[in-house]
Amino acid sequence: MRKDRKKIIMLLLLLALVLGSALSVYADENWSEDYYRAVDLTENLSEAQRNDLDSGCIEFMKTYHLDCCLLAVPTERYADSSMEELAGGMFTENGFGYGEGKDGFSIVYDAENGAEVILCMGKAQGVIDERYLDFIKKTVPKYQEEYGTYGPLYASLRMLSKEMEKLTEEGSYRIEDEGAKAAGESASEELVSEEDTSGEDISEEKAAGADAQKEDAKDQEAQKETLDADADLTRIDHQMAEQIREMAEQIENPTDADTGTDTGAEAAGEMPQIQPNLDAILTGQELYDYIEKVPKADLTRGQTDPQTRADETRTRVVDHADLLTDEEEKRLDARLYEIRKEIGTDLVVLTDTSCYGKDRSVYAADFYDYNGYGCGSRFEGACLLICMDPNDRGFWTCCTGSHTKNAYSYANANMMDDMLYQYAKQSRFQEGITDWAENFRRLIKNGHPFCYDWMKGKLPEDFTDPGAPRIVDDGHLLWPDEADRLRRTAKELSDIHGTDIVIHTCYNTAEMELADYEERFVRANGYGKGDSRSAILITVEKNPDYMAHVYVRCFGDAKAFDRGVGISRLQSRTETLISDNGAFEGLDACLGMTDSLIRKGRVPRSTLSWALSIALELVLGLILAGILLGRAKKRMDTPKVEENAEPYLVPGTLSVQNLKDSYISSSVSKTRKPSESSSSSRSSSSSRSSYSSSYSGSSGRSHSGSGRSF
Amino acid sequence: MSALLEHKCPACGGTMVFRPQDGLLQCEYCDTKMSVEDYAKTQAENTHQMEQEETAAQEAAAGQTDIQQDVQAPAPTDMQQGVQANTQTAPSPAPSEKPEQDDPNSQLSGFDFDSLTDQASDETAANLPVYYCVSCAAEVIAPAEQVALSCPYCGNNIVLTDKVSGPLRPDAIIPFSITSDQVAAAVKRYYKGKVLLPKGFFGASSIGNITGVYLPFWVFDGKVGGTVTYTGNKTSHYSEGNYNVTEVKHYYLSRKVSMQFQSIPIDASKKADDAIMDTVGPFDISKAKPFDMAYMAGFTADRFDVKKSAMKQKANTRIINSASRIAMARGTAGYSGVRHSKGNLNAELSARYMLFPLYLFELQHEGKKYPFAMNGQTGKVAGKLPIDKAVSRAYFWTRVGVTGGVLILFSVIKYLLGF
Repeated sequence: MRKDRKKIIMLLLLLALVLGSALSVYADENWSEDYYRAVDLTENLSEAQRNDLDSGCIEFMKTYHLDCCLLAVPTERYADSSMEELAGGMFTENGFGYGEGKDGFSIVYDAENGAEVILCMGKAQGVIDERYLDFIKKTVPKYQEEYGTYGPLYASLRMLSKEMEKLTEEGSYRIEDEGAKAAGESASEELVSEEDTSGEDISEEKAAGADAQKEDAKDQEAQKETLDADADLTRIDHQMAEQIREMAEQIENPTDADTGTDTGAEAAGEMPQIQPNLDAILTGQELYDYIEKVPKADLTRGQTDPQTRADETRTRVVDHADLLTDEEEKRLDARLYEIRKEIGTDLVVLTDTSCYGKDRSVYAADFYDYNGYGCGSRFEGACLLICMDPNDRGFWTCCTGSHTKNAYSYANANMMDDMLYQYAKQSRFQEGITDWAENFRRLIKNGHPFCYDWMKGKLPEDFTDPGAPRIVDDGHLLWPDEADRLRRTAKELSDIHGTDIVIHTCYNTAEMELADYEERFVRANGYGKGDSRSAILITVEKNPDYMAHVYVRCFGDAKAFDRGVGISRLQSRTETLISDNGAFEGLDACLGMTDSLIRKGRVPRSTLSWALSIALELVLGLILAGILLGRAKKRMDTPKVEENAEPYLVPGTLSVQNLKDSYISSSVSKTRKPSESSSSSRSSSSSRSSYSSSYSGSSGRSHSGSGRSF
Repeated sequence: MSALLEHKCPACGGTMVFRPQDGLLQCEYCDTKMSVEDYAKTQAENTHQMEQEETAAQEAAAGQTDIQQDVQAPAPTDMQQGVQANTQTAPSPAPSEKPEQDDPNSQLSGFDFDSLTDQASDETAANLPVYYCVSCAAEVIAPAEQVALSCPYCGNNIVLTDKVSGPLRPDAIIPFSITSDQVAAAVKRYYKGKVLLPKGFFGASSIGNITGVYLPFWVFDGKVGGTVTYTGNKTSHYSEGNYNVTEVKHYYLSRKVSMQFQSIPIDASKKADDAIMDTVGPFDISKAKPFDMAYMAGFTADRFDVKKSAMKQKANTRIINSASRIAMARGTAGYSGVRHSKGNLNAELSARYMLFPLYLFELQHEGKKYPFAMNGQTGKVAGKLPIDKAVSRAYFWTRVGVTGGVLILFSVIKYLLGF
């Protein structure tokens, strides 16, 4: 009898194991990855942010067997319903939910009002205390100001994760397979029932006492949880802020760990194949010989060539045209590495003496693709090709990856090409390439090639930096020695007058209001002397096609100099001098005039200005004298014979009757209307880039790019 | 009856002169004052009494007193004979009794110019009548157009009645309101502010004799009427597709016009400068008095000597020109490019012969004479003033210098203050 009982138990256990594994296998198919878990109807999330949130939701689901979906909406989207209905609808209609019970959380965040709803579906109900859910809803909106829509969504997910982690550690929440659990439970029940029938008696009082003890323990635990929850909430708040900050940076600047992993849907939905690195970088004829060998089948499928993914040992600067010295190459490569780390975009530079029969755009794309450059699953990055073919000198920027291509718009391309073109014309390639790289860094990081880091983020309070350069030539209008000379002059004047004098050249203000731009520049860089942070900022905005615009603004005590026409005269004269004589001469004269303005309260006028002014005043005198002479002559009352008798017309006797108005004929003339001139004066410039929003290299991968001949 | 008329004081027999300041006649010797109307009444009574005495004397005595009048002209002209006949036989008819001249060409009613005006202007010095001053019996030869004058010997004021009688009698006269003493002040006011005059132009010694004279004027009234046709256009602009269209419609415009003009003065004296005469006006016609020679006492006077055709032409031209301008402006409003097509305006003119008071004087400067006239009724002065070129240049450049200098100084101060 005992032996038969043991056999039955073993069989049951075996059955439980089998069922459990089956269920666990089944459990992997209990969720669908067809839809993104993070949906943004406000269009504020970048693709990277959405992918990250989606990954986080899937990870959450895999970890806790509870689905999680995030939805950011504008208020108008649920005008006819409620956020709860929206949350429920999104969850069910998209087939979210883990397992048969469709368990999970549906979070809807109103980006306009900062309101959030967390809907618990299936077994997720009751898992997390309602008070904690309220805490999440109350806390997450404050991350919107700094991190945009991404902040509250990420915070919600992380706070849920942290709480689930805590509950799991404490044992309040168990992640168990349903089948194994069911089998285990039924097995234990059988065991219990078998044991019971073996003849042992359990008194009712003993069982009731045990139950009561269990109840007490649970109550105490619940009370303890309540007491700890409030303390935990504050701690979690600070942790979340830090983690969001870290996570936000990570999203924007993915590390190596993020490269080469398949964290999003590929174009074809498949992971790229990584092959070992080649020994040498392919360029020129070698490259195209290699491409010839690639099976056509790969190309027709539109796959990237599974050759290699460039690692950190592979240089990003290939200077076949010998435009850079070895030292410059190394420095540039190091800088490109830093930029890659910072923004997760692979910037590559190739100079060559020929494009080997290909268009510059294709050569740049092929070089980039077949040498395995690019960050992330989409090979984010850009390749700058400078071709020194004597018959076709020019440059081309080839962009790869959706993020990079989206950032490299036509307007941005033109601005960056404008700057590079100036350098290329002057054969200042090292500076030009470096400048291009920095512009690209800012483009990816801040959204605009000339949106400097100081234009973002909170401004520091009461920050002064005497060591900050007073001549900032972001517009690259000055040679280094010219900048030095201006720096010395500015410092001299600054020491004499106790007012910081700063010159800043730029291409444009990156679509920021001028006043904000100037304010930020001064405060972020710590300019200003004395308690009032007295400073005079001279901003020169100049792009290659247009004359300079000069803006002078006074801060602190220096505002006393801004009276009368001094500042406007300073601005207009400097603009004229820069246009006529060049940036250095103009700015040097501007410093002199600034000195005069501070000392004497006025800006000196040029001799020509005086001459014109005097001439104009004399002309006015001539005109006035002529008028007076005419009046004097009229007063001479020279007699004249009366020719008419109108003063003698008897009032009331005039009668003019219209007898007839007869139409005779008409004549019609037509002139063609003048055609509209081109919309923007900028578009009429001759030095505009060739831009392509989408083209393919030999690999078939999509690129965008722009370039010019020089 | 003598063709010379002297205005004698009824009290003492002295010479009466007309006083512009109060419009009275005053004896130069006994200061007797009376109005022109009273004087005329007195004179009429005296004349009647004298006639009665003469008749009585004639009846009592057997002889006649001859009027000593020796006309040296070889043959009196018809006009003179007519004048003399008129003056000898009967008082001049009242202006209302003048015969109307039916001349369809002239369309000018009022005065019979045909035989009078042209003949009067043909008189030469050899044909000038000689008068004998009643006071001193001196021979007085007067220019043909002169009506009133002073005896060059005894200074008596003489009116040549034959030249203002009958058909030559003016319809009205505007008496002097301004005395000769006021001329200097009026001239001073006149040249005040005229900075371009040569220096010393209006000095005290440069003004010659000031002569108060009644000058002849014809005062025309006119009725204008007629039907006139014009051509005119109406222009519209609009857009049609890719074109700007301009459409011009041409019209014939037919208008019936009528209007009246009144009291247009045109001077009838050859020696008077037309421009000065036109400028020195206007004269207030409403203050004109029925003609009486007494108003001329103490002043000289001229009668008309401009040909009828010239005056008529002048009046017609002024009236028709004005009427055409007014009719076109009023009748073609709303049309552009208006031109006269056909039809004319016709004027029916009537004229009155009047004497207007003026003070005439000349200024001499650097050998040149500059005629001036002052309106004896309003005091308005008119004359052709010279413009000194050197003064003009100095005036101009001074102002250039001052204006330019002020502006330059202003800009310097503005610069120094930092503005």
